[in-house]
Amino acid sequence: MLELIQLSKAYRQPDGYSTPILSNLNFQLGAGQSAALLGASGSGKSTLLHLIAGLDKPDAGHILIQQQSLTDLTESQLAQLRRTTISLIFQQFYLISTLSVADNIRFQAQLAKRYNAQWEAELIERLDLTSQLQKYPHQLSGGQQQRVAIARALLHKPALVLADEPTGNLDEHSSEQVMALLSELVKQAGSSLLMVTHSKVMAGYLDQQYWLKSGVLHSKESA
Amino acid sequence: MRIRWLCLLLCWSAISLAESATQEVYQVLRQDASGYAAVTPHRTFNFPADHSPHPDYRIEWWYITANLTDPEGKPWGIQWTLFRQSLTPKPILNGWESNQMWMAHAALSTPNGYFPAQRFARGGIGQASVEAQPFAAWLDDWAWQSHSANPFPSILKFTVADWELTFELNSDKPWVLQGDQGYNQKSAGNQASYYYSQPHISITGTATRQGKSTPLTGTAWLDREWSSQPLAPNQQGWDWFSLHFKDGYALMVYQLRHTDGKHWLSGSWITPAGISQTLKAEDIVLTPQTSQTIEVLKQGQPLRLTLPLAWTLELPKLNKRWQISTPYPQQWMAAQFPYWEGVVEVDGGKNGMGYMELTGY
Amino acid sequence: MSMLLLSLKALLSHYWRYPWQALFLLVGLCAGVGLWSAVQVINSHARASYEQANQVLGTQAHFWIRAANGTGVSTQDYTALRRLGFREVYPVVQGIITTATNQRIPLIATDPIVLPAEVLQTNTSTVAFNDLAFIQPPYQAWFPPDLANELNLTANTRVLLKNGQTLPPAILQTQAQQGRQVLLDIAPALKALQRSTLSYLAVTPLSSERQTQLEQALPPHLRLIPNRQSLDLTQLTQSLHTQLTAMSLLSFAVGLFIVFNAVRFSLWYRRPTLRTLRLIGVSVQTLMLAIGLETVIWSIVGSSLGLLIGYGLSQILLPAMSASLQSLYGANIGSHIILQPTTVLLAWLLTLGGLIIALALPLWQQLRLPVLPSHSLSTYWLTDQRTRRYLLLAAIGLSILALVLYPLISTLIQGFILLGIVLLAGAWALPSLLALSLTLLERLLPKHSFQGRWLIRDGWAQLPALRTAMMALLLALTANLGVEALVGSFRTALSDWLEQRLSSDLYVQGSSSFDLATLRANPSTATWLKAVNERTQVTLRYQDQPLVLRGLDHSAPDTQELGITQALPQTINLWRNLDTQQNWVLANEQLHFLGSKQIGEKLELQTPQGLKPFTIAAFVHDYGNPYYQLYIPNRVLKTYWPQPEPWNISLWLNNPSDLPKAEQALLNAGAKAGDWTVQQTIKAASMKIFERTFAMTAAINSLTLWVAGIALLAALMAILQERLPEFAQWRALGVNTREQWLVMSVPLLLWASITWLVALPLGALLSWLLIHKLNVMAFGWSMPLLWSMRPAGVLALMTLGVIAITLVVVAWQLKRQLPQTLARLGGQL
Repeated sequence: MLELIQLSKAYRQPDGYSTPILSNLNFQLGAGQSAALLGASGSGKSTLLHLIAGLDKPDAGHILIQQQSLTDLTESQLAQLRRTTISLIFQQFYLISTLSVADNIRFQAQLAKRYNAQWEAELIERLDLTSQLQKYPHQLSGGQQQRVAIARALLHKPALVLADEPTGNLDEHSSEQVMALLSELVKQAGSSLLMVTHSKVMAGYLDQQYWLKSGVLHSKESA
Repeated sequence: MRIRWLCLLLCWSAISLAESATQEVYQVLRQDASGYAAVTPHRTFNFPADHSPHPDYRIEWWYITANLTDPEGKPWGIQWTLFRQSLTPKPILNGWESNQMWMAHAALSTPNGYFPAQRFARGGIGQASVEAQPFAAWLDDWAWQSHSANPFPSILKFTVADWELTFELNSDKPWVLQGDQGYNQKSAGNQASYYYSQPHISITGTATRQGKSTPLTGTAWLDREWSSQPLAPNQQGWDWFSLHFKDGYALMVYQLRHTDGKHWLSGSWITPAGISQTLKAEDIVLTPQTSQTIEVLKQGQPLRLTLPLAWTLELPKLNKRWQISTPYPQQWMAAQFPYWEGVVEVDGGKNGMGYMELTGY
Repeated sequence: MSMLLLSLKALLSHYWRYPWQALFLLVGLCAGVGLWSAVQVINSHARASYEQANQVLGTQAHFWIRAANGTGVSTQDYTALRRLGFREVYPVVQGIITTATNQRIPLIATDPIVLPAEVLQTNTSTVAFNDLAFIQPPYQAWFPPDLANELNLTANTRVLLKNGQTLPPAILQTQAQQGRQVLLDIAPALKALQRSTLSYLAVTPLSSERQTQLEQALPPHLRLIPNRQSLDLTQLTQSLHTQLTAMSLLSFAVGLFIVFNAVRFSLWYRRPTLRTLRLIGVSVQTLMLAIGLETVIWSIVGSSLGLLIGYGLSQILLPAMSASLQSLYGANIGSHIILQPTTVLLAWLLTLGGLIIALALPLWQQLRLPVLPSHSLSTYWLTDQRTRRYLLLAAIGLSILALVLYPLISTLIQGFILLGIVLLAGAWALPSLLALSLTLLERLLPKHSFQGRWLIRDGWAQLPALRTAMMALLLALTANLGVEALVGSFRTALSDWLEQRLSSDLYVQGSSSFDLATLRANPSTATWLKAVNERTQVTLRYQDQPLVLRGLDHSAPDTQELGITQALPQTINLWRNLDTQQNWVLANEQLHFLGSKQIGEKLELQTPQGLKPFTIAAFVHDYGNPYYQLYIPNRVLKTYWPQPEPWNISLWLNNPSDLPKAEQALLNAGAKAGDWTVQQTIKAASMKIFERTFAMTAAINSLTLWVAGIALLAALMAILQERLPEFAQWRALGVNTREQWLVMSVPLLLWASITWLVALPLGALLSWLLIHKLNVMAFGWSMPLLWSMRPAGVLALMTLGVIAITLVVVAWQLKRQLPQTLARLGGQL
């Protein structure tokens, strides 16, 4: 499903030095599997997620999603990939403020022309958004907004869901609620999930855990 | 010798306020005279015709100065001059296209001040001219008007500052032809002019200001001169005297100052009857005495100028010696081409009165 | 103090980070101040020239001496006065020469030798006659550089005239008050004009005693007339200058819209800065002072740059302006422009005022509010509805005010205030109309169209940002349409009127040696001459303004067809009836609109026999004439003024092909080549004057449109800056470029179209007010309003062009900045 081969990325500093973030990183995630990406602040977790979403470009190596290499794609092909195959969930939710909750949920599915009313009803119910549909994002609480974002990300049943600290802006109670729903619904949608988090508790909801350190992935924290 | 035609060439700067240096002015005067009539010896003078303009020659003037006395016996003086210039050879006398150009200077010297004025006019339109029948010379309302072809008797009327001046001029004496029968050589080269004078003119009249008239009487002097190229390159200015003596004699003397110090001197000694005797350089000893510094205006700029306002004049062959000085040092004609011209006394006024002109300082 | 500097530095650093905003702020200020000051400079320059109109060529001329019968003053009369001691008098020759290529050039000549010297000495800026060459063959013809340009003249060229004469070699320089006239010595001028007399004598200021002396010294055929030109010009041209000022204030307002836009976003960006500064302990007072200082800095920078631009602009616009002032009012405008300190001060104050409203007040307001929870600019639409409602209410209030004021308007200034109210009402109503259009579009779209809904919803987010720019666009479009309609209507009215007025084939100038009686006496004349109109004139003063009495032949073809605007029944018959009890006259409209005279009203005029009444029988169109004018049959005129000044003689030919025959006959009757003009030449000259007069208006107008275009660009650039992260989020959600552009450009195009549509009726209203209210009050001319869709179409294309340019710039910026923003997505903002 997702395969990273010899992936490298460095950031150029203003003074001309470049700091390596990822170096010759290899990783695989099977279909329907979920994995948490743990690591210290600045270890490059989010960068890795951005690279996989095609929002940024690697310096070297390959990213394969469903055997398709991202580096070969044009900007519009990338957009097409993002609207059909990948979903992103951000810490800041990134709801479209001018659209109602209902329209926000449908946004990506409508663009991808994969709207499924039955699945939508189920998502809305599971995420407890039934009474919020006519509201606008600024009228919702943080937890509610993230649940809208989750609904939006899963409605078109993407092959891969990428989540960047989805509970980073939520309190402990909401976090656990949202995390439980997320892991469960991703399974139900049949999607793979790669989630960046700094919380071992949140990581525990997923099938596998990886630690990013010195640009390389480790399956154990201490390594 | 009066070369105030210099000023004529400057009349345009009356409008332009050009700051021409005096040297440049001279340069203009030394212009080539080709195309104009030449001044040659042995000309026969013909009166009254010669009182009229000679437009074939480049420059010409009618020049009156007068020493006057008021009822209190104080010296007054007037200067009234009309200059003509042909701007180009081949005179055009009539209409706006005329190439005749006129300039006039007038001044009144009084015990209480000196009042100069200058005017300009083009010829051909009647604004300024000299006519023969009857004799009349004018520029605007400055006018010298006779009843006949003879310039005397006549009326001279003009205004300077807020003065209105009216005089009757009269003379029955013969015309004095200066130099060699009116041929007046001005250098060892061919610089020369035609020059005649009337030194014996009786004058009476009034000077009126703010309704108050002062009667004045005295003697006047008329100079007539015309030429086409009168100045040598090395002549930088001149000192000129016309004197009336108590005994009825008159004297004209001038020196053209040469850059090398060898000045060109000339003059004439005239009897009360108007018989003249030409004076050569060796007959005249002219020595500046004290110099005086006065405040003057040159091209509108105030300036302090040192002038030889006192002289000793000797005619050794006639055994004559006089002290010339002025009672009024401030007689500066602040015209476009400025010069000092005014009343002088002979031996403090005991022996006579006259006019002195100093240029090129 | 250090806190103040720190705050100021923090505030200003914003512009360093976002140079676009600084640039737009500056562009707004420069555009507004530039156009305003250009007009201001020209106006004050023209006014200063009028003050010098009591001078002729730099010399005071408080009086004229003119011939009682208008034939000119002889040289003998002139020198006679000089010989009487009137040295205050100097000669002037003025006239119009026709070149071999049929161009008409005004000419002025004097005798530089007698120009009073004391006046010349005070004239420091003028070039002097320092050369004998001016008064000696081949003489010199001094051409003002812009006139020389127009004639394609180079130095030392000799212009060939129609009458076979040549002008002296051209010198490209000017003397004070020469204006757009060729300056010559009198000798070559008389030759070029083939005249023998002087036009008039100018007289320097006189004491009353001296004036009496001069009056007594004048021969009976000469008159001493006070020179009231300065006063008259100031009065006559006031309307023109008011109009220009109003236009320039409009551009200033449009400029301010840009400033508003720029500031709106800088305000948004600097909220965190202000918050941080307050958190680190900077007092509100210090912050207010820092904001005040920032405002002053901007006002100084903006007004200086604006003045610089305005000065340059005025140099470009001046030739057209002075040409039309010369031909309309006979005013001579010098070509040397000086930026007056009052203009500089006024420009700065205006800028400061504008900035306080646009920049300082909102910032100060911001300070007083509690620190707001941060929400995105795109949620601003939630509160915008309330703002729109307030604006709409204000617009309705203004419209009612305009309706109430309309019947009360009596002066030009009031008229422009009314115009301003109407424009503002239109602008303030626009946001609600834009919102309405969006709502309607929403209804039109199929319910299930998700993209359509998204597009509409995003439109609401863009509306608060774009509505200001749209208001600026509306003002510019409306002004353009209004003025375009005014100019178009006037062009049509004028050319129709000229067609009527200039129906004769040949015009022979007055005061030539031509003798009409000789022409008529020739038996062969009848073979080609159809009709004649011999016109004369008498100039008087009425209501302290010049009044021209035009004597004409009441049976002449053009008299029959005078464009009557209002008349009593059988007017022409009454008028032709030489009824000495009533003395019917026709009056130009100016006397009706500016002189408040009605049909049937009597005018008491000063005749040589004392005051006599004349009754207005009708009003006629008289475009372009700044003076009051009455038309009287020559027969009536001559009973009161036995020696009117000849004006011109019109001749109608039986057949156009008779022209050579007619010209030969004119020569035989004493006319000289150049004394007559064929109809086409005069018509062309009149139309040229008109085109020039409106060239300036048109120039300012199109500049205003470009300023509005910049406002649009500024708004879109600001939107782009603000929404870039949002666009990145869209991308992350898989939105492609096409969809994004649709969302961005559809509302923009929709609103631009709505704005254009609103501009149509508003522009028509504006032109209606301009033509029926302001123009009548300004010039006393009435004309029918002609509305054409062509300029509206042109403007639509221009607007589309502006939007296209704007979108291209935005697209380029987006392409440049999006990848970076995408990479930053999800990071802490």
